[in-house]
Amino acid sequence: VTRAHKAFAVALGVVLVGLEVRAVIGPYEDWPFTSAPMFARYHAADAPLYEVDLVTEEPAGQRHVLSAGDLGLGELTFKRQLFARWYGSTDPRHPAGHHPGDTPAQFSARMAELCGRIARVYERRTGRTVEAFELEVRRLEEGRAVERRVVGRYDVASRHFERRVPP
Amino acid sequence: MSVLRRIDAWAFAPGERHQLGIFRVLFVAWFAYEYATRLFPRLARHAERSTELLAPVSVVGWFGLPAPVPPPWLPVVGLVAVLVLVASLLGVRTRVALVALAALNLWLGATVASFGYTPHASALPALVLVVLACAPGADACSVDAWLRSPRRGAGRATEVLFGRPQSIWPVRLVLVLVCAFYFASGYAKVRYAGFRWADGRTLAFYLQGGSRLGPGEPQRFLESTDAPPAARFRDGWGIEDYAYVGRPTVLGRALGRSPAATRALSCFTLLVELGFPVVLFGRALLAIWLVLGVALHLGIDATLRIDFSAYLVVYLLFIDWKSLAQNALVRRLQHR
Repeated sequence: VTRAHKAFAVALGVVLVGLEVRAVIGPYEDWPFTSAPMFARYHAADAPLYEVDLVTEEPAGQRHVLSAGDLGLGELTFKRQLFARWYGSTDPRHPAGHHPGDTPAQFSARMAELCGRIARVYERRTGRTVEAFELEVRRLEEGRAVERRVVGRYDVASRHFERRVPP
Repeated sequence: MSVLRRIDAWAFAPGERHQLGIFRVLFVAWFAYEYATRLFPRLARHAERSTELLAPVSVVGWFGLPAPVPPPWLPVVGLVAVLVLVASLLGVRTRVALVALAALNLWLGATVASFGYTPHASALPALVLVVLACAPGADACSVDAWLRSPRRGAGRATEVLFGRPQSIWPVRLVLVLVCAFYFASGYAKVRYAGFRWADGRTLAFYLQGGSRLGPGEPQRFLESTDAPPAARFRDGWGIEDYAYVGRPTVLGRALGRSPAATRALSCFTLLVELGFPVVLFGRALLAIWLVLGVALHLGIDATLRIDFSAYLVVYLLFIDWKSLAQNALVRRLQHR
């Protein structure tokens, strides 16, 4: 094995292993580098679960839960991006979206940006116009929704996301 | 012997127990199957995705790659994929074909991962393919090797099939990556849940169908048990993460009802994942942990229908195909 060959092998190893170690320490989800957080959070079967949805309000007054399919995405893809990249976890270093020192103002700005993008994609794909989105979270106990909270409302015309302060 | 020399010998000594050419054939055959059954159907669906909702992974940004693959490009990309897969499999212009396949795979995999969902099962094979594309000896068992071999007769077949002993660094590097991936998985559990994860309750939740994968099944979320009140400002409850999903089988549900079984399986999972780096300390430990790894993945597939067969394909790199073939031959001759 020549020196050049060894140097190349070491460089390749440092890059690949280094980027993987960075993902683990980060932690990041940055395919093909991953902190492998699958199934890692503690959760007992009797603990509550939550569902997060965007509810569209159309000019004629119809309201319906926005389906990931309306945006050309799958349910897991849409909701995971919505949560980790835009909504934000209580963990400021969630592997799929870091939001250190997150504030209500930053949260509202992110949601306004996301809802603006979604409105454009939704209107282009479905041909329907939307006036507003409500961001809704439901708490489930034993598989049934026991409480619903509106976290905020995005007005498409003014491009403003108004956060509702939770009880 | 100094530490540096030992590391040098460990990483670069010629290895006779690994035949990268045979691994290349098996690995690329698995990629061909994966492309036909999963990746390209997925790319066809992704092609219509809107760039407004793109969440690009770093690989896309580093190399300025287009994502998603534009719909008019798909037939051409498909044709290129077929060509590099066939060339890599048969070993025609092997090095060029492998480098092209590794680059193509990184691009296509990154576009799939750039909308918010991380396909974990394809991550390790993508990196192993990069190592294989650079590895000496990967062009054995190929048309190239056959054409350039000066020997004739049985000696030629053996040399073409298994190649000559080469520096072992690609095998060592893959081994380190495999260790990093398993350890990361175990470390994540300890990081987020502590060793409480071993009590089996989290596994019981998933095995009992608390978060299912399937048409119409919603993505559900988990709350934090220890986040400070200030971190719960969004909804007041404090959502911490999305739940992962599986499709529990009858066996999985039955095991999920038994606290002793879920505790044992959780301990086993942590043992395999956190303990995987011991494979760096000897062939016997490697053999033991590969068997444990096979059991882990088959168990996950049998209980939650989560397919990590890609990892098992990577394990094929650590098999000494030459010894297997020689032993089989000796046994056959003894039988006669």
